[in-house]
Amino acid sequence: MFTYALRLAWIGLKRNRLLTALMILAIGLGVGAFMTTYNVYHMMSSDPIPSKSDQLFNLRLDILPEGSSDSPGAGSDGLPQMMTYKDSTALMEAGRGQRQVAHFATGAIIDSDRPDVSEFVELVRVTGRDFFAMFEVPFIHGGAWSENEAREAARVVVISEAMNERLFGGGGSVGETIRLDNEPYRVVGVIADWQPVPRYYDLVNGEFNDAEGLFIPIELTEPLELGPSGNVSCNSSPEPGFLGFIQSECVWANFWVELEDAAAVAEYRGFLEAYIAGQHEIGRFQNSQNYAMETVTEWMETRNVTGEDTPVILVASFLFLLVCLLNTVALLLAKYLSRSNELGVRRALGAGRGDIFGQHVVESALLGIAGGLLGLLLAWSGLRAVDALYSDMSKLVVMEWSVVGLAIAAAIVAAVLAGVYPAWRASNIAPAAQIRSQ
Amino acid sequence: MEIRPILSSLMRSKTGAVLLALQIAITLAFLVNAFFIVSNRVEAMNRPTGLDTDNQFRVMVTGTTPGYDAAREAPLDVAAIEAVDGVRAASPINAVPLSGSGWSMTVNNTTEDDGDDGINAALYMIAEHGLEALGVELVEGRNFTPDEVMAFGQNDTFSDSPTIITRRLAERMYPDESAVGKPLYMDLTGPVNMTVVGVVERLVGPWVGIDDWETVYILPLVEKGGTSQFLIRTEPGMRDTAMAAVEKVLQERAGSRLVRGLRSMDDVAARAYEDHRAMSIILGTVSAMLLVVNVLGVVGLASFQVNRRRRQIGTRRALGASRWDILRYFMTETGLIIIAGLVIGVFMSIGMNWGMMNLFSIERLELTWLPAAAGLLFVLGQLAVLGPARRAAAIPPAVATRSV
Repeated sequence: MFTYALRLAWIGLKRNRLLTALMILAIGLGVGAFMTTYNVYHMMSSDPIPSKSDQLFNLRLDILPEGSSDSPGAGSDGLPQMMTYKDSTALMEAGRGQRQVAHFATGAIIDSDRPDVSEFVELVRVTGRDFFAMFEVPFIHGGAWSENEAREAARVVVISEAMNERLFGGGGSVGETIRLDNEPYRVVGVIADWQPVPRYYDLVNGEFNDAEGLFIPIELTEPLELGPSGNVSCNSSPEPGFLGFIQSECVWANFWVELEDAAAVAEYRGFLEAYIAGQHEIGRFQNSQNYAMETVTEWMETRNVTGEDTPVILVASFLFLLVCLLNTVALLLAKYLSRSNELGVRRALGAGRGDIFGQHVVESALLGIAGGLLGLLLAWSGLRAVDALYSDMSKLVVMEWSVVGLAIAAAIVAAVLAGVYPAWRASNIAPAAQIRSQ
Repeated sequence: MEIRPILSSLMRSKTGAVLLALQIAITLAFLVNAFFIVSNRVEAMNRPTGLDTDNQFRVMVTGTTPGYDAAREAPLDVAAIEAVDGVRAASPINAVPLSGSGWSMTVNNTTEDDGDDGINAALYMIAEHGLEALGVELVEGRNFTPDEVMAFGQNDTFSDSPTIITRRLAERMYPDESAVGKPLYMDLTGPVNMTVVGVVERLVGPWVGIDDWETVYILPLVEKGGTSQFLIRTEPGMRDTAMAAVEKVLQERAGSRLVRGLRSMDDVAARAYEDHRAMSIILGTVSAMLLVVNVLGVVGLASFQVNRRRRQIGTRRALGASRWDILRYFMTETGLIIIAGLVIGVFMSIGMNWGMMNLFSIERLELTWLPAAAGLLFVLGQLAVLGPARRAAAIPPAVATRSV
């Protein structure tokens, strides 16, 4: 019975090729446009580390001067967007969470001993050693530096696979030496290609930027006077000199803590509030004792990672899809009703209403499949176009399998829904009326 | 004009008409809001910046030897750059306008606490050829002199300096009077007294589109450290050749240095306005596709109606209706549906704008776009139905006499 319906549907589609083509085009355009924008939106907003995103917390304290509510450093929630160096390192050293890390980015001239590699400038992530375990960064050689190496401010570095390729031509480079700003560092680990989208561990300095290719211990900040490369926001003037700068109320660092369950979270909050109260005693945190402790997705939301434009474009493409579907309903209605004679004869010969309805729904579904495939093709070209229009979306135009599946499913569902009313009208055509000659 | 018969015939086959009217309504709402957004973005992209972006570029130089001092090398680099054919002026600069990164400080016209916390202003640090490199117009006072230019490092602090400010900052600090000769204060590891020596007509800060985009002040400072950044302005048409030549000159001038970040200001500006341009193109493309889908829909639907009513049309022709009557009938019928759709669309437009105002930060719609979009849709709809209507008019009266 289903194969009979399929044959009828196929014949029906072939009968008026122009109309069928128009409908497939309408569905394809609508689905293609919507899938393009949905893919971008999905890549921007989906959880980059679903296995533990609700156990990782980004912290921000209110170090704004007393009475500030409109300070330029304050974000939409009235708190600074980053942390001071002294707070983030103090909290990291206190070690009250399962893991914790303070980090920021610096710039350095990278050089290796190989004569065929010329020096270049790169961003380097200056971080606590928990970074790799917390953010599940995969290693292919070696590992993070040890606690001892951190404590002794050893000149050690973890490099990415790409950096390994560039500096050493690939291969095991653990134990090799490279120079950062003329200071020799020993390679202790090489990480596999790791590009979280968005780059959630540092959302303020480029949420879709590449992850850095070099990581060094944050304990080197003071001895080597490593300054931040990125946003620095000072709400009161720092004392002169590097020491004055890192002890100031300028914010440019990130602090993350890993807490395994609600009990751990509650305990950490207690510790944090005591820390803030203690600092308040010595004259800091005079504006308020507020703080923000947000999970990965909450922090992404606060920073509005999806931006202003993408949601507007998503709505626009959805409306376009809606108009395409209304169009399809009208065209299907026209098409099915123009077969009144044939349908009347079939009804008179014994076809039930259900049969007619089912056969027309199958016809709509076939249209949906064809439209969905066209839509996928158009979405793929749409994503190429988005990549050409925006310089920083190359990570967001990768088509995910889930989006492919969604596109085909959406097209079929949309076409079937569009065809329900016309199929119902078709099945209501009375048998006898059509047999009489006009 | 036989509106009543048309209406009663529409009432009998409502669905097609309702679908078309809905389609038109949503399309109108979309077009009006899209036109509005695009016009805002285009306006934003065309705001004057005070620069000469066609003829400017920037480059960075990083010293790789220990003890390299950018402040010491900068004047030598500037001289070498300005010797290049086609270069008009060059200056070290701490931040590039429109680039999205730079310095911002709070400045005030007094150090007393008068309840006014001061204004957030972008800070540029330049040498004596900086104004010419920026391409800005000095309207009051004077430029910095070479001996006013100071080296500035992290450990340094100073307490006095001349400053040049934009007209916008002058109006806010000293409305109704000339700002030249007046003081300006900022806090930099201690209060700094600056004296305004010049006012430029317009110069924008590094961050596009923020409220205080044009409140900018300039100091005669050259940064110490490992990296210099230069802004270079060329004679018209010489930019590309000069860019290549300057890169070479800087590489050859002093020891082992890394010359990097060579970018034209056109490129920087394009990147700054990328979002606006993309949004305009995307909304424009979707609007065009929407119009195509609507036209195809009208053509399809009208053709179907014509086919369905062959006998009726034939009969009318046999009874004396002219071709023109038939044509007019179909044009009027479609016209009525479109008008109904446009009326619903007006409410949808306002509703959609209201929704977007709340969800996103779009402004209130200006209704000037409404008649234009509605008119466009009406004309397109009528043009679309012209084809099928003419075919209807061509149906011979003899059809009435046939029995099938």
